[in-house]
Amino acid sequence: MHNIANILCYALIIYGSSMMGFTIARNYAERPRQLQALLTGVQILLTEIVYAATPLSEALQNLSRSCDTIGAFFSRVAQEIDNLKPARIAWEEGLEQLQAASALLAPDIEALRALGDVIGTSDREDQQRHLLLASRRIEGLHQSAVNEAAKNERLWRYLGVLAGIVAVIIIF
Amino acid sequence: MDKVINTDWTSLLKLFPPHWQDSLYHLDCLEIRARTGKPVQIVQSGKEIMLPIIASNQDIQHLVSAFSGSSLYAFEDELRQGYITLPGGHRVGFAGKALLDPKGHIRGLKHISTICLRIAKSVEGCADRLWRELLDAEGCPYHTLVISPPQAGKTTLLRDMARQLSDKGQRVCIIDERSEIAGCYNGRPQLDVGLRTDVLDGCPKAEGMLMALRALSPDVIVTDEIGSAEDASAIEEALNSGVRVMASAHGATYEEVAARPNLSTLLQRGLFQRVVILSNRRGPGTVEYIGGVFSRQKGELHAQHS
Repeated sequence: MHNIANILCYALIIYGSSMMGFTIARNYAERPRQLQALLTGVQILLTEIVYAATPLSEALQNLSRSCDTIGAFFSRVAQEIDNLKPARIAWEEGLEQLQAASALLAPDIEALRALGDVIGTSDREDQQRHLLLASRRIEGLHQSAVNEAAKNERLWRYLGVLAGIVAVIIIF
Repeated sequence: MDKVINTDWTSLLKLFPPHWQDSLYHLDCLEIRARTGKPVQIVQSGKEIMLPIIASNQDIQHLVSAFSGSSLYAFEDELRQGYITLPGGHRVGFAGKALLDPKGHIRGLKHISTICLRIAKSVEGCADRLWRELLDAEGCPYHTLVISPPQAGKTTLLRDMARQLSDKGQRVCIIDERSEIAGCYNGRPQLDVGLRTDVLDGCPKAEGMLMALRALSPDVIVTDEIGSAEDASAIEEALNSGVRVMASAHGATYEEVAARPNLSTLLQRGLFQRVVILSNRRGPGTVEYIGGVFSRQKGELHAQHS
């Protein structure tokens, strides 16, 4: 009886620690994917704004069909703009929720925030400049996220399991 | 009885910064002017109020965002003209730093510092008392020129004339170069201009008149603020092709309008059969004179107007 309880306890420790490792590893894997979705989003936004002069809320609504977390962000901002909120404020509020819900890190959010300050507030030429700048920044971030994921994803997956086993051995 | 069609003030109010809304709520505004660092100015019929609110740069940016749906880039053509039209037909004028293209033409505006919102109000029935003078025996309107200084109601009068003629069975075409008569938003008139009315929105008057003649076979063409040589020749073209023309021109008196080179030709040749002169003397829409161009008996209609 005592033994079974012990084994269960050890299993739980290993399970918990592996899960922790997997979550961290998944964040590393998710970030490049989400940055890629953002990059595509910003590039589509550039086309919509510069070449089609599509109103911002409509353009953002079109983007909401992309990747879920990022799509939800675009769609939320679009809704708020439809509710007559200025884009800058809607964007800022959307970013707070995005940061909580996604694997994005502070520099990623910062790049988006810089775009939010100017989006929709000037003529097409100026918008093009800002959108190009943002997409270049996100591209850079994406590249580094890919590198980090390659380094860290597998590391954390193993590390979680191993840490669990080590803890069990020490307790044992 | 004139019926002022008031706009949906509450939905318009939502566009303003939250801390302005309480002060604006109870006011009956014709115009709202906001300038960075200056108190907000409200123009009501005949008087003005300075609100105890100083418009900050952020407030102005808020307004620009709200009026353009956060998509200023989608209004480049409109900004080149200096104004945009809102749903409901209201017009927002801007002032700021002009951006020029290499040829020196205005390409747009940046650093917008002044916003002037003119609230569209149609006064249905304001043309009622004029029909006796303006219709011929068959019920068709005479070629009419409405002369008035700014804000004395010439556009309102033209709009009501268009609406009534159209509802009575005439095919009316409005050439609305500055989106003032019908207040179009996305091409759809936001103010009631009648059942049988087609609107060429944002269309240059001269080209628009010829286009309407070709494509829409109107009975009546209505257009605002004529003055250029092209306008004059297009009007002449329309006048001579069996279409009735109702137009307006800036000016306080008949003499002022008659002194403008292109209009004087039209007037001297007797192409307009009726002239209506409006003023602000007893509120917007005071009729100073109505009648033929050469038989100018002043005074009869003053008493009828409140």
